[in-house]
Amino acid sequence: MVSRLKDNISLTLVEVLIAMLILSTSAAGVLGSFSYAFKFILRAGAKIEAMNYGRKAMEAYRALTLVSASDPRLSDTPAVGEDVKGSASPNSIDTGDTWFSPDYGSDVKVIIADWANNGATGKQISVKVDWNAP
Amino acid sequence: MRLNNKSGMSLLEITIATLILSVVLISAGSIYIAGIREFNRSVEEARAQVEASFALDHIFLNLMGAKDIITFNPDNIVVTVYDTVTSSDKKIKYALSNGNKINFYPPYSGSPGTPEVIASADSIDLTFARPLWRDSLNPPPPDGTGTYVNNYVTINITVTKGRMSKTFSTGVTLRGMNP
Repeated sequence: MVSRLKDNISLTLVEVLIAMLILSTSAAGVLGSFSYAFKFILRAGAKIEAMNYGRKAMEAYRALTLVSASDPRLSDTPAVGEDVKGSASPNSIDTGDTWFSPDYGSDVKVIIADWANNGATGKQISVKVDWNAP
Repeated sequence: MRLNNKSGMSLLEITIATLILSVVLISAGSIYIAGIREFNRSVEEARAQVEASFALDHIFLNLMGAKDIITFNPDNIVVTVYDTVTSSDKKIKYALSNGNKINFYPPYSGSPGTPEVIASADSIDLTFARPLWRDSLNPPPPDGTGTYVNNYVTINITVTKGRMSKTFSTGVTLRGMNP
């Protein structure tokens, strides 16, 4: 090193570029691990959020069943797979999208079908929640 | 080796070498410190999010078995539950405190006792509502003469911690209460 300092030979451009490339790769790995950790937290939160919307819809339909089993919102017409929010159809429990999920960008859809088994009849309610992983 | 070399290093060379070494050490130390801070911040944000989710489940499960709503406000609720320990009806309460904590008051008969903090963060917004129309064709006033379903309660929790802000929302039907 000392001899290198005393002679007139300096680092070449290629050497500097290679050194910078190695350093950049190391730094990118460290910074990438931070980003991955934060993204993991966001992803977990989005999944919990979606699951709670599904539960919110199921509970709403349970409440409607207790009020009146003939409520039009429990009907499977006019469309199967109707959006829970924002639609003016009889299946929508929040026609104006004011309270169910005003800030949730993805769909919350419901399928309500008649159900029968050994003479017993009822309704089968299925809720599907789309969620965007961050 | 250069042990017999009398020329040695000049003061300037040693100074430059020391400066370069210092810069390298400071850079490495900065990345290390930043890493620890980032890790701690992520842990705190994750903890706040988990606590908000826990509080939502806590409220959901206790309201599900409730028999009646005694007090209903946007940021607090008191309901009647059946206490299996004493085989009698008791009250429980959830309330937002100071805008950064959610308090749970365990079963009580007279006045609520000491609360348990079930969630805390930099700021928390807790909102209860009963928005579900009883009749889909007849909205409540001022647009109509309808009413809301009494035993369906929505719970919204928005938690903020550092750079993270998250809203969890769900609804629950009180099984022991008339609609």
